Amino acid sequence: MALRDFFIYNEKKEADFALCGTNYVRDKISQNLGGKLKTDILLIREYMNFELNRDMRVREFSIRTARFGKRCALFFIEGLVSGKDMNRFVLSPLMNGCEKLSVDEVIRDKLPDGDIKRSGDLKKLSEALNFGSCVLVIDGEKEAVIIDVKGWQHRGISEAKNEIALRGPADSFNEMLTENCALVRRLVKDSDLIIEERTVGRISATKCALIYLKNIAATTLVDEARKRLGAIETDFVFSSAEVEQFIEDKTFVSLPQFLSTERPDRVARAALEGRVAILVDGSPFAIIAPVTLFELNESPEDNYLRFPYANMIRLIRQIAYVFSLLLPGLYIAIMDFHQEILPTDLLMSIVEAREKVPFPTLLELLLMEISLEIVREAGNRVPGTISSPLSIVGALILGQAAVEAKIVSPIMIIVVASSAIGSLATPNYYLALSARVLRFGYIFAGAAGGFLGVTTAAVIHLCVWTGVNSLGVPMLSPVSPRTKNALFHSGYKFPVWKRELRPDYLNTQFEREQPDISRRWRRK
Amino acid sequence: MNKLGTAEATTLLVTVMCTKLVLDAPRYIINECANAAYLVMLAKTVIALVIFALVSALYRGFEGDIFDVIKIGGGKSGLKIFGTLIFMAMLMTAVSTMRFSIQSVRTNSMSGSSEGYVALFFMAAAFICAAQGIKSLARTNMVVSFACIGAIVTIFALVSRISEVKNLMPIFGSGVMTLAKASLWRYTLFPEIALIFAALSYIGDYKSARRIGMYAILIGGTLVTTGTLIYCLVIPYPAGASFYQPLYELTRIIRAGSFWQRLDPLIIFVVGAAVQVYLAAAIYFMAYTLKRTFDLPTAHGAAAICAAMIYFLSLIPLDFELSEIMLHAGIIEYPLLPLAAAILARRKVKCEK
Repeated sequence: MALRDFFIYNEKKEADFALCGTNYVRDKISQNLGGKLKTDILLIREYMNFELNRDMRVREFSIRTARFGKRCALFFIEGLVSGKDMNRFVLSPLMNGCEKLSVDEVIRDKLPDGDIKRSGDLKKLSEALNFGSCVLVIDGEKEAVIIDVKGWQHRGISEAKNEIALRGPADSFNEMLTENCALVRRLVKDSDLIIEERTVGRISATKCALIYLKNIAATTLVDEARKRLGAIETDFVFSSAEVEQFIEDKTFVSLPQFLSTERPDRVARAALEGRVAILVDGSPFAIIAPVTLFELNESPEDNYLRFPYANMIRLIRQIAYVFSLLLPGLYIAIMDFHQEILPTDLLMSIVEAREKVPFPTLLELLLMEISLEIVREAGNRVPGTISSPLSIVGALILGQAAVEAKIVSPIMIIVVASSAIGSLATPNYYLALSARVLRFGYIFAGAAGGFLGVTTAAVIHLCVWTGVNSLGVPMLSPVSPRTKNALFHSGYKFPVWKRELRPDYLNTQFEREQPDISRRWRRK
Repeated sequence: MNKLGTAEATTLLVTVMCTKLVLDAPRYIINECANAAYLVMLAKTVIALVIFALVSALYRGFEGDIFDVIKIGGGKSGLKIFGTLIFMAMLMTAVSTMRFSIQSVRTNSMSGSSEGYVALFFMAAAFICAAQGIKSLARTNMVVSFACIGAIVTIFALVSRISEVKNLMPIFGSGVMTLAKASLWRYTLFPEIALIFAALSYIGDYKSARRIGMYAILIGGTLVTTGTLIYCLVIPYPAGASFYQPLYELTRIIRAGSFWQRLDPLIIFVVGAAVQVYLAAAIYFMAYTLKRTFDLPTAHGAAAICAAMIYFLSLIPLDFELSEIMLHAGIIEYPLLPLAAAILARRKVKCEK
């Protein structure tokens, strides 16, 4: 290779890290049914690995029709189908049939099932079997009949655990996509509510639903969401969190770019505002986009609170977030560089308390922060019954003991505890996590350069975050970039009757949510 | 193309123009014109508006930014000469701002740290922000500029109770002639307005550029004039002509309860953020100038070189005369070069006709 070529950029067609053989499991070659029952049974058995799979079932029988009866075979997977439904609504009508009807007529008129499709493609038949349908293969027919008889066990609709609203609805999503979609549709009774189905994952074939209001959401936004979902190339996806990471704009930035929620009312509200939501089969969380930083700091309870209370709580939350992010960094900056801003008495008492601590401030702070993170992580991992006693033991007893042993100073406990409480007050878990991660950056910046270090970190932080988009919408809008009705959507709530415009950064098809006069009554 | 909105472009220009002025100009002007410094600032703002109106009128009818106009007037070689001059002028103003900021931060609360170490913080933020691109930079600046303006206005409000109108007497300070001389000469106010002619591709057309430039000068001028007036009202001449930065001086006076012994270290947040955004914009546009002048395929390498140049030049010890020259380099950046470029291009077009 010439030296000149070394500097020329050549686009790589293949990854450097490919192992020998193929990188991933190849798609099975698509095959179609032949029309002969015996051959088709063998084909399906081989395709579905009947010899190895213990839950695959096939039932051969004859459909009673006008001419002799037709031989057929019913394939299903035990545990995924409802045995009762299959016997009652598939096998029984087919076996009893009618001597005056043809096979097509029997299927059309005698099967009391709402979802019947036909396909000859083995891949589609396999997908249907795996999704709880049974497949009826008929002798002489090149297309099998797919009958939906889903019946697997699942968790029922329960109360929201993570997003509690005192006055709002209490129900939350479960792991069933169809039920989750129904929960949303129950709230938005409009024919323009679109729930598009997409399949993600070559092997897992996970169903995803893209939810939006056709006449409100920007078409470019919907197209973008559709494009990104369709462009996921992976073997498996099991949760909305994974889908989120596949379709987010910037993966190396700590800021979450989607709002994750377990509440159907939040998804319904998002759709009505002109956003899109994605539900994933098997995941009790929906993801909503686009969202802004200010919306990530909103709690579902805010929507049901009167505006003065909601605003006060939001302000407190914003302060809490800043606390959780900056407090340790500012503390170390003051202690190491700018002691002069503290009154002399206070400074003396702090210095006195730190006198016997053998570590420098940075090490002391890191020790406490890392200990707190360990306690928090341990609390998350242990069973629920002992997680809160563990946190109390960790926080109180260890903290107290550390102070008494002169390993850390009391003021350090106050600083670390305040920042930890601040992160707990942040309603979005991922946003709180981002503060927990970035806090370490601010600590090092404060230790290195005092207020100048913290300012440097803050400017870099801000500059990186201003470049982050949520499905094309800047995360710091409507403040930066500023939009026309920024005042109404920059994190603070206005009275319900003043909620006239949808956020303009969503570029919705209809900007207006309600007329200027939405309270059409008069005070007597 | 990364188009900027009116608010984004205006605030970016205000930050770029006002950082040095708000932080330092009152001290310089008071040295010369005593307690009538605010009148000089007012006069300079009006003059800046008039000059900008004239210069921008000369650019009417041309398509493209200042580099395209230079190309029309001076061809490729002319572009290289003018581009290099613009680059050098930008470099000088950036270096003088950097030097001044390092000194003020060190004097205020980092006296134990070396100049090179303090400069690293400015340069790290500036380079990373510049590398993020103009959109991120402008959006960051939206937040930073509002925070800084808010902080400055709060300081002004807090010190207003000790302001004394008597401090403005005699009304013309060190004499009308001195005021007139200082208003017309000394050093040009707002040399960074030249960026508007370089950043035209990010702003749109000349009409928008003209509007944005006017807004920026008006906002910047108001801020600088008000700042100087408050400084003159609070700190009487000759105490006002001290070595310290005016904002530090004002903050030191504030009494905010016994918890806050001294508030002046908090000014580092304002100074630091504003200077970092200023330097980021300077690096970005210096790299952009090099890219346009020498037809470089990408500006990233140039940005790294510009950052390194600002960093190292700001650490070279300078004698007073040289630092005065660097301070006056602003006049080349604006209005001389944009004016010369427009006049040459107009002549060329006229001759061709």
